[in-house]
Amino acid sequence: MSKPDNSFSGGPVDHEEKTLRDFFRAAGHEPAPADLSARVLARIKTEEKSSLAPVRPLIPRTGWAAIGVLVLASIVYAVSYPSDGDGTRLHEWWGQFHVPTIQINIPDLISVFQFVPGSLALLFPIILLQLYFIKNFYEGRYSR
Amino acid sequence: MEGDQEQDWIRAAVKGDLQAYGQLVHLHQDMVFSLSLTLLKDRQDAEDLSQDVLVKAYRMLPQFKGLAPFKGWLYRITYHEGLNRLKKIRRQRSTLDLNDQVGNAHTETTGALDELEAADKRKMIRQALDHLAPEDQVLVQAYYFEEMSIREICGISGLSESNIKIKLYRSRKVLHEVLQKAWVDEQAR
Repeated sequence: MSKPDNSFSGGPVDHEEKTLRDFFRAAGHEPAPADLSARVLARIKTEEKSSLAPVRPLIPRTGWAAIGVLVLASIVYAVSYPSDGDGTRLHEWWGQFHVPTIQINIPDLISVFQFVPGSLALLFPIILLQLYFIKNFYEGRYSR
Repeated sequence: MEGDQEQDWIRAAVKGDLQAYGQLVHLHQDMVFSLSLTLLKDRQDAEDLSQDVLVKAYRMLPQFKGLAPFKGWLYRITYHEGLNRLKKIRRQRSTLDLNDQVGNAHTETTGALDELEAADKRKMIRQALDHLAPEDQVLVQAYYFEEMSIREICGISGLSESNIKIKLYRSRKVLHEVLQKAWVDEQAR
């Protein structure tokens, strides 16, 4: 190894300062790997491509709009129902439609122990269906 | 002139010109890598950190106001990312003695005599820097390697001017002593 440009023989602070600065300057930076910039640019390109891929939402905008309209309509219908039970024009108009109803006879003595498992049995297929949709949504999102 | 060119590259890179960003990377990659290596001591970890920092800097480029030099801005990102990574690595390898890695990872030479000498000096510096706390190593690197002003280092580290001056003074004493001893040992061989 050749002798450094400056010795480290001590001395005033200014001398130490200069010595160190010169030594650091002579040493220079640790050279980065030759392909670092190429790797950085390749990664930026890859990330840009994946971020630009269109992602279809689980519920589209029109779906949310429809849900909003239905919720609003339900609120208006409920609020506009008079307390005397006679009904308004809106309710008369709605009354002319014969909406099919489902009659469910629940035994009077149904216990909590029967109700909870029964509810879970009904809800379980719905939860499974939701999980299926969510899984498909995320798989589709990240595979692009 | 070089600063104007750099500003042009920054403006172009903000607009998505990857070639311009490539020029910026090429200009500053050694600084980023050096600082990463100073902090992490491992070549592979330093490469990973440098890559992450340079990708993050590209994402954050629209936030760069140009009030301070680009080099300082990039140094600040590397500094904070590096310290976070160091904490993470320390948590993962709490029993690892980082000092063991010094000396065998930093002797890359290209064959040219000058580069060999410079590499020897770098090795001596790295060994000397290991006598300082990581935060102080970064301050020394910024002050002596990057030749930044105390005010610039304040902006990067968040420390006060007087605090930085004290830390640099103490670090200088330690480095001077260690490098002097290393030099005497080298001569004795």
